[in-house]
Amino acid sequence: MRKLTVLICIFLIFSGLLLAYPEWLSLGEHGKIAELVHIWLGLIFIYIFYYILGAFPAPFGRLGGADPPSFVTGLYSIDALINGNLTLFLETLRYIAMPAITLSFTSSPPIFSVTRSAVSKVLGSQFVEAARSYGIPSRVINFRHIAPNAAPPIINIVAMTFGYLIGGAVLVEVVFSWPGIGTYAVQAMDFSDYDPVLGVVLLSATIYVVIYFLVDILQVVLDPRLRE
Amino acid sequence: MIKIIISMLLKNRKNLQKMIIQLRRPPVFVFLIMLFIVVFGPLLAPYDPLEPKPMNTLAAPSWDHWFGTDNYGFDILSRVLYAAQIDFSLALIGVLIGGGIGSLLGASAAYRGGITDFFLLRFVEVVQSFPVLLFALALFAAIGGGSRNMVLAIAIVNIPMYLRIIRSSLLPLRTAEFVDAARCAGLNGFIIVIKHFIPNAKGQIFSLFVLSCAYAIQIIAGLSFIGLGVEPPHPEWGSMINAGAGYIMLGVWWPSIFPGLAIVISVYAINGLSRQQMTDQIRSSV
Repeated sequence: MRKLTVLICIFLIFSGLLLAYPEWLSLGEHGKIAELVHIWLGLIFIYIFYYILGAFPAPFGRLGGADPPSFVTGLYSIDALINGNLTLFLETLRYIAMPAITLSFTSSPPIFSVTRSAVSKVLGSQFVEAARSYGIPSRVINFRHIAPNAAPPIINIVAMTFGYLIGGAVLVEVVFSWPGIGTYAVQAMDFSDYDPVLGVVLLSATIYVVIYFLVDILQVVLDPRLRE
Repeated sequence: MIKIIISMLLKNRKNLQKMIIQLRRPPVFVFLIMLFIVVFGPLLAPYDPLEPKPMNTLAAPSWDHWFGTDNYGFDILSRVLYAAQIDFSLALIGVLIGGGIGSLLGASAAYRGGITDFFLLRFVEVVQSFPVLLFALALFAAIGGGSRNMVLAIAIVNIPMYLRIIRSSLLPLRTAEFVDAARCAGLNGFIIVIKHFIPNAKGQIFSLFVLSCAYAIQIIAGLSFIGLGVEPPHPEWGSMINAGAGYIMLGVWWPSIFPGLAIVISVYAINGLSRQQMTDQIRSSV
C-alpha cells in the first residue's frame, strides 16, 4: 500500500513536470536548465524503470557484465548488427535507452519551442499564402517552402543543445556508470590527476567550436542571402 | 525588504492590490517560501544535520523523519533545510561577484569600443567555448576544490554572460547625447560608465541576475555531486544526491530524490520569477 502511495506521488510529480514542461524548461535565449535536473531525472528513471518496473537493465555502463561484440567500429550496437547478433543489438539498445531518454528529456523543450515559433513565423508569411493560392499541394509546401525557411534557427538551437550536452553528459555518465569521457575526467579528478581533465575539457571545447563552424557553413548553404 | 513592504502598504491601496496580485502568481509565492526556508531553515530543522544515528540508517520516511534518513543515519529533512542556506549563499556571492565584474566590463566595453571591446569579446568567446561544467572542472583542477573556489568558479563562469548581454544592450548608447553631455561636463570615463551607463541596463541586469542564480545553484550542486566543492559532511543538495545515488538501485529513493526536489523547486521558482519580470517589463514598455 505504501509503495503504491509513493508510486502515485512520483507519478503526480512527474506528470506535473511534464505538463508544465516546455514552459519552465525552455527559457528563451539564455535559458539554461542544467546538469542537475539530468542527474535527478536519471535517478528517478532508474528507480521507476529499473527497480519498480524492471523494464530496463541496471545502470552499469554499456552492457553490464555481458561480453561486448567483436571490435569493428567500437560502437557496440553497430558492431552487434555487423556480427549479425540481433539479441545483443537489442540488449545494447536497452542499455543506452535510459541515459539517452534522460538527456533528451531536458534538452528537447528548447528545440520544441524554437521550432514552433520558427514554423509559425514562416506559416504566416506571404509566399506561403501565394504558394497555397497557386494550388500547390500542402506536402510540397511543407517540404519545399516551409522547411528550408524555418531551418536556420532550428539548426542553431540543435547545435547549441548538442554543444551543451557535451558538458551535460558528464553527470549523466556518472549516474549510469557509462564509461565515457565524462566519467574518465571525474575519476581522474578523484585521484588528483589533472592532465586527463584538461584533455577532456580541450577535446569538448574543440568539438564545440567545430560544431559551430559546421553550423555556420550550413546556414550559408541554406540561406543565399548570407553568401555575399 | 520589510521597510519596502510597509511603505508600500502605507502608500495606498492600489499598491496593496498589486502586491496581492503578485503574491497570487505561483513563482513569486514559491520563491517567498524558498526565501523563508533559506532564512529560517536551521530553526525549522527538527534534528542536528551533523548528528549521525548509526542505529537508524536508511530509514524510510515516517513521522519521526519526514524525509527519512540516509546511509549515516542523518535526518534528511534537516539536512535539506540547512543545505538551502549553504547553496543559496554560495550562489548569491558567486553571482554577485561575477555579475558585478561582468556588467562593469560589459558597460566599459560598450563605452570604450575599439580595442578594449575587441579584447573583451575575444575573452568572452574563449571562456564560452568551454561547456560550463567542464570549465569549472578544469578550474578546480588548477586551483583545487572547496567552497571558496566554488564561489570563484561561479564568478568566472558568470562574467562572460553578463559582459556579453550588458555590452549588447548598452552599445546603442555610445553615441547618445547624454553621454556626450556628461563627457563635456568633464566627468571621467569610469564615472560615466557607473552613473550614466549601467543604470540603463537595470532591467536586463536584474533578470539576468535571477537567471544566473538559478544556474549557479545547479552548478554548485553538480560540482558537489561529483565530489568537488562543499566538503561531504556538510549538508549540500548535490552531495546528498550523490550519497543516495548508490542506494536507488536497491529501492531506497528518499536520500537522493528529496534534495533533488529541493533543487528543482528552487530553480523553478527563480526561473519563473525572472520570466515574470521579463514579461512585466515588456508589458510596461508597450
